[in-house]
Amino acid sequence: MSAIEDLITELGRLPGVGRKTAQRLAYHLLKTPPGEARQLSRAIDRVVDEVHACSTCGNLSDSDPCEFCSDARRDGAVLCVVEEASDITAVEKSGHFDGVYHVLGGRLSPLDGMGPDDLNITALLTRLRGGVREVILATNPSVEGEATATYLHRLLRDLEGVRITRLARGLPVGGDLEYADGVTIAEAFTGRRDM
Amino acid sequence: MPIVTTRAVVLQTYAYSDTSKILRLMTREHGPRSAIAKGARRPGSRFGGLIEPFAEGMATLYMREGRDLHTLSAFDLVRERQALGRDLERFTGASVLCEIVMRLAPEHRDDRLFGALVRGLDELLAAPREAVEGTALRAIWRLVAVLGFAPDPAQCATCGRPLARGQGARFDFGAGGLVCASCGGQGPHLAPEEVEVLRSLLARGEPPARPGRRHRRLVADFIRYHVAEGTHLRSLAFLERGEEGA
Repeated sequence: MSAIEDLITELGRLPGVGRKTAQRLAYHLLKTPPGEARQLSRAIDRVVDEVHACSTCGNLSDSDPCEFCSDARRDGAVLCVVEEASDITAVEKSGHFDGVYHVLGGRLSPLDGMGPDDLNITALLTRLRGGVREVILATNPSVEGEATATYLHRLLRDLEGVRITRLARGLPVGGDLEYADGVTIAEAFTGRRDM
Repeated sequence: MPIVTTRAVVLQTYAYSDTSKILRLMTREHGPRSAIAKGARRPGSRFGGLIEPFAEGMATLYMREGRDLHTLSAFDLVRERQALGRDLERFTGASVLCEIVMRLAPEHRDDRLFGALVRGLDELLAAPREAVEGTALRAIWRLVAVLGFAPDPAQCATCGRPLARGQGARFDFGAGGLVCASCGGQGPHLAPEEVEVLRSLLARGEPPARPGRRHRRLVADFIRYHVAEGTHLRSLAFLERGEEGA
């Protein structure tokens, strides 16, 4: 296999990249100055060598424990459970959460063969033995995310002194009621609150 | 093929690129189809929370002849079934129904199969908590029957003679069902009460409340042996494990 063909094949393995896009990317890399292409190659090498799952929370980081677990200013008694490490970025962007995280590494999905044993649940249970007062279940508001939250709730609900909460669901801020879909409106009605 | 509007059930969704989703749909008029819902992952997308697994609606598709992936341009919700995700047994049962259809449905219109899927999902949604397992197993057997493989619990699968009520029998996967004592057969032996539970799962009327692990395993093994023919159905493992499995 030629070097170009090899690169196209490897790029084509990336999610959302088909053969044509892989070809386009490969030829783009060949046209860019060699230094830039090598920079990309070095960046890939670095993440492969240096980034690992945090042994405490499962977040992907180049330090262990990760920057959130080792930050003494964060409230270690409040745990936000997310499906993927990339969800942490979204929560952090809100600037509204100063607790710590726990990454499940997926969600329950019988169709994908993802069961409880495939998720980072044992480590979660271990963490809950020491001084946690709230677990926020921040799995996605999808059917599978809901099933995962339901499973975790059943597992954790009998823990004494630990409050189990779920992120609210409903209308997006700045959205237009007229254009919201029926499911979202129904969820917003279910989750309405006193003023 | 031009723009087509058809009743459809969402079987599975995958994230595609930063903003889109790929859906596996069971359409009433065209059988199972894959479609891309462009922009569906964007906040404020017109699809919003509509295209979630188990949801049913009127799907408008740009269908191109010879293509495997069509484009979803609209999905008008008829029935959302989000609540199936709030109960693990219902979720597992619904996932098994969807996977059977996804992997084994013929590539053309099949009203009976579409009807059996929709009915199964609705029954799972409506079943009282204690009846979910029986409802799920009956819906699965019904789907298997529509695919043409259901066993006949009234007669021996080998010699065709009627099976006496109140007696146990062997369930022979190779023969396709229960076999009488004189035919022998291979496979698990069902006690008289287990045979009765199987009969009621395959019949109309109220399903038995808690058929139990043995029956979950029986239907899973039957599907593996007869229907799937080597196709690996991942959700069957969850069904076998039961409530604690998903």
